[in-house]
Amino acid sequence: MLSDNQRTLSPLTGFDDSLQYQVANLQGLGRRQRQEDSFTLANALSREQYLKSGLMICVCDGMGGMKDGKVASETAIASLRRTFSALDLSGNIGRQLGNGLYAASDEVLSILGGGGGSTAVFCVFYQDKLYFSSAGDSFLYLYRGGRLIRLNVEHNLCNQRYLENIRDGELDINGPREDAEAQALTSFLGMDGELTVDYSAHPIPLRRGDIVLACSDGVGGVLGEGALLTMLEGGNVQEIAKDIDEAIQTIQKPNQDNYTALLVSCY
Amino acid sequence: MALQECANGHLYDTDQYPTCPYCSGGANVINFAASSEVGKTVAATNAVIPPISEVGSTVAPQAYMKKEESSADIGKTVGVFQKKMHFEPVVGWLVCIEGPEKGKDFRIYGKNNTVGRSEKMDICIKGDTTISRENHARLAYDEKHNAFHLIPAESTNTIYLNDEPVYVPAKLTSRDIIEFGEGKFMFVPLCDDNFTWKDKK
Repeated sequence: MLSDNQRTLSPLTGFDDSLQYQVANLQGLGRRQRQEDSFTLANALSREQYLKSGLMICVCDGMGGMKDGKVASETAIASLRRTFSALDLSGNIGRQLGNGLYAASDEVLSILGGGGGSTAVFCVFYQDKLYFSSAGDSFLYLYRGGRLIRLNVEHNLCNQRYLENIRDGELDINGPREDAEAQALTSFLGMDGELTVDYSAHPIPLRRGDIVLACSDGVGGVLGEGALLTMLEGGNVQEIAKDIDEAIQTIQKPNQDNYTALLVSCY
Repeated sequence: MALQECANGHLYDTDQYPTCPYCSGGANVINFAASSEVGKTVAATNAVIPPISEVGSTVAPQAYMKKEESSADIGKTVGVFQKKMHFEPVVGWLVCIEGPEKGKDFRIYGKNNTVGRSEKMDICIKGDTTISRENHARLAYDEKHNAFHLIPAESTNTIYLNDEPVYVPAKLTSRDIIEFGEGKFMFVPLCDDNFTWKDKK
């Protein structure tokens, strides 16, 4: 049990409805023929709107190598937008965002029959708190006080093997990492099987100066955390989006995947 | 910068784009940011101007294309042509030279031919799932001028003509290479300077 004294000191209490958000979006094709990433924002331009109904951002990475990646990511986005507009803000928002991914997955599955899929990072900012859910290998970062914190985990074979190895008492990280299928997803919207969804059981209270970055692996898998951290230190989301784009163009990765980044700064 | 949130929740600058460039899926790199303080809602302009991408890409949003497409409804004379001929004569072919349908030919009739995967399309390219089901593009034969045009339609994927992206109707010449989805198609006209169906009733 926390004492009253501890509770007052905890950064996890209280909310400050004076926070304002600045939002930026960035999307590029990379070296791909098609854009299979989709994203959406809601209430990003109106403080009145986001105070009342929350600010929503969502990134979906349609699966390349499978047919109809764009159909998958767009179907997921449309479904998640409906989840957002039907949110009960007085209820458990994190769980609703998690359930939203299951609903979106069912829709994608019904359209593509397991032949395509999409990742999702789905975030709602409400009353100075961040709620999110995620499936697949897209990224969600929180930049706070000079540190970059990864908020979600990639649902891929590599991570699954790590967990299996730890459970079996082996701590060799190289085996799973070197597996040819290390990056294969173990959970995504539209999968014909048991979906793993992560969601925030407790919201993350936001502070002035925080920046939230949601991005597809075309960003998160290409730019290291050190590079991202340096860019996020700039603070201005518009400039950060430009920096991310420039960094990706500079690296000139062969086969650069589609890339999408959504940035929200709190001030 | 005049920021707008489109119906699908994308932020874009209405000073630069007449309609949301993200909704087309065509733009190469787009990057816009919004501050809730400066982000007043601004009505989208109707000006038909090609947007200029910051990285000098030639890619234009499809929404821009669509305006062009309707104004260039090339196949208007086609119905007349068919009526005159009492049958639907072949005027040329597309031959798949690379991709899933390699080796197959597709007939082009004397009209505004729709291209897509669906059997409802005049030119039905079934084997390539990266081609839109309906109205990926149109191939129009204009009897009056004995000319062929390639018209981009509702495809979210860029169509290429001799390796150049096509956003507005483009005139075709013999042996042009068109890229639809993952396939390359050679355009082989039957009607050209040496032959037309005119006077052959």
